[in-house]
Amino acid sequence: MEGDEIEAKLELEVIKPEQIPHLFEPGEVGCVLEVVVTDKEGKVTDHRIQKSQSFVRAFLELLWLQMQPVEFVDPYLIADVGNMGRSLFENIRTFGCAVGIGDTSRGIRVGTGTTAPNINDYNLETPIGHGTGVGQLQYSAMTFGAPASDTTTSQFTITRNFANASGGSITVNEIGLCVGSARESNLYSFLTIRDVIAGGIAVPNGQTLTVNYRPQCTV
Amino acid sequence: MLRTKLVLERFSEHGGLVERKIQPGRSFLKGFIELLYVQHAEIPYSGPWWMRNIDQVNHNVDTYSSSPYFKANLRVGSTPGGTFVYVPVNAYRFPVIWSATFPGASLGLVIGNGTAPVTPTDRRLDMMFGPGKRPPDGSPVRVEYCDVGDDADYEIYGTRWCAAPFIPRFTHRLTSVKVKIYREGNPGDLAVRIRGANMQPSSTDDPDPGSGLDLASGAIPQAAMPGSSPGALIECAFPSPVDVYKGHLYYIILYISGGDASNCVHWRYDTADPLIERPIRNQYGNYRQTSSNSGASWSESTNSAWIFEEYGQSIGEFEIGGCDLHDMTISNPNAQFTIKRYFANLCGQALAVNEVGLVAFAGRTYESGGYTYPSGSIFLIARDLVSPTVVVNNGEILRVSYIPQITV
Repeated sequence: MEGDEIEAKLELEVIKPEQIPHLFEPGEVGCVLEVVVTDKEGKVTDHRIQKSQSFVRAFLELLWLQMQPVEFVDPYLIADVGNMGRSLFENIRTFGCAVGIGDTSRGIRVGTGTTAPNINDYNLETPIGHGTGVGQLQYSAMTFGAPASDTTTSQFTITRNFANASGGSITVNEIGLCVGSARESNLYSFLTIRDVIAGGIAVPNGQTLTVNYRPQCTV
Repeated sequence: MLRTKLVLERFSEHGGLVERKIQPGRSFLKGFIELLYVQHAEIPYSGPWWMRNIDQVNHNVDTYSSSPYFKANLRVGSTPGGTFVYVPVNAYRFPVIWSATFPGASLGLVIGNGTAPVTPTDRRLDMMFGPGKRPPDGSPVRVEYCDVGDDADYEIYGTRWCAAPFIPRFTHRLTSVKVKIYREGNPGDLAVRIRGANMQPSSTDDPDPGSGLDLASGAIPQAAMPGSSPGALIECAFPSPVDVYKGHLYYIILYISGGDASNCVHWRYDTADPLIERPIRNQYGNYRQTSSNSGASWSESTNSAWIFEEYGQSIGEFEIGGCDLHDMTISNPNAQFTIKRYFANLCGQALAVNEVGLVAFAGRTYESGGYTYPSGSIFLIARDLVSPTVVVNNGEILRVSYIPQITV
């Protein structure tokens, strides 16, 4: 069944301080995971906010790559989403995930896997592909909300929409963030966050799932 | 989830462990979130993110890469000390020389004596220890100055502002400045400001004092100004003194509100291009900054120098080692690494450490002659108060470790 291509445009959203959710204890750095399901009229049919549980190893390894810095003469091996070890050194593309419509190589991705996260996860367990075929969702372009802070908490927002035009309901059980890092002109993809959603999120045909990851620091 | 452990270990001069203090790191700041945002959103130089560096300069940051050059965004690993400069922009494999430069001690783990509560928008330590072995000064001393020659002056009024560059030879708390001035007519009070700049200028990326927040502000009342040439060195004491860091570039900015050519302040300067190292000389010699539009843009006048003196006091110094990252360990459900730095107290007195911070590099892009070039600056991304205070006696070494750990 063919569906309409969803529209998405890059936009910058400034979060007002009073809109910043506070889920973390002082000293914690994590992501707030917000999922919203809306129908064709824009009516919200499901809305959840929770702590993202799971930075996985590539997040810390990429942070290491940049902070160290790891240099060309002694690169660091990080497993990409295909579990291929990539010899990397410090580069400007690290953590980049500003991809466009239908690009599932990076950005927020969703899947149907239910296995609990492990520090060594390198990809979603069962990724959902982009499209309108059976079991597929339409991936929008990634959008970002600018950094904001209040008296205790700083955050920015990473957003992607997933429209279901597959003809049937799809249950999303896992959500992840894939980011880039490059070795000269070769860009690779790495899973930095993976969350399994208890009970899953049903996205009926014709409805759209919006996923917001909000990296936060709380002092 | 990411949590951080902060470990402070004090060693005797013979290497024996005297004290180990472990506390939860509480305070990654907005600066860290901002740099993560720049990376994730792949911010272009045509629409950069603006954030304030550790000298409160509003600084553009981006991820633009013009092959073969890239920027070392998020770097905290650093060379030691205050006499080295750090070159953070690489051409894939090799450092290039036109990048921003600053003392290695300014990047990575830093420590201080301040006790101000942490807020997400902190951009610098409350009171930072600089590199070296200078003991605390009991009272303010003259630090940077230009007191040679004096054969011309410049009229300050209305939109005509002036700025004198200086680079501190040691980190200190700036308490006052003296400027050689006289008044003509009734100009009113003279505003005196201290601002940071981008990093020390290189040949193609000369910063100006226009984009910084005021680090300190004060005034010289009209009544304190001599009424005739050549005037005198008149002091402005700042109600809130401010840290200025060794090897960074700052400006003393003077202006008045209103006035005209008959009601103005004259600032004396030397046109003989005095052979002095500080205030700084660029590739053309000494220079003075002037603005004709209230600081919106600035012009350099070379081969001359404003007459001024700058006063402040050190809170003591540590010999500061390189900032090193090591010990990446991954074992489900955890992964962690360690950021480490040594601070040796050789200043002759005990020093009290009350705060720890983490400073990271991030790059900018600027255009010159139709080409784009990478440069950058340094930003505070974490700050923690140490409680209770760790006192490091003379001859002792302090090892500070910051251990970020993620847990699924």
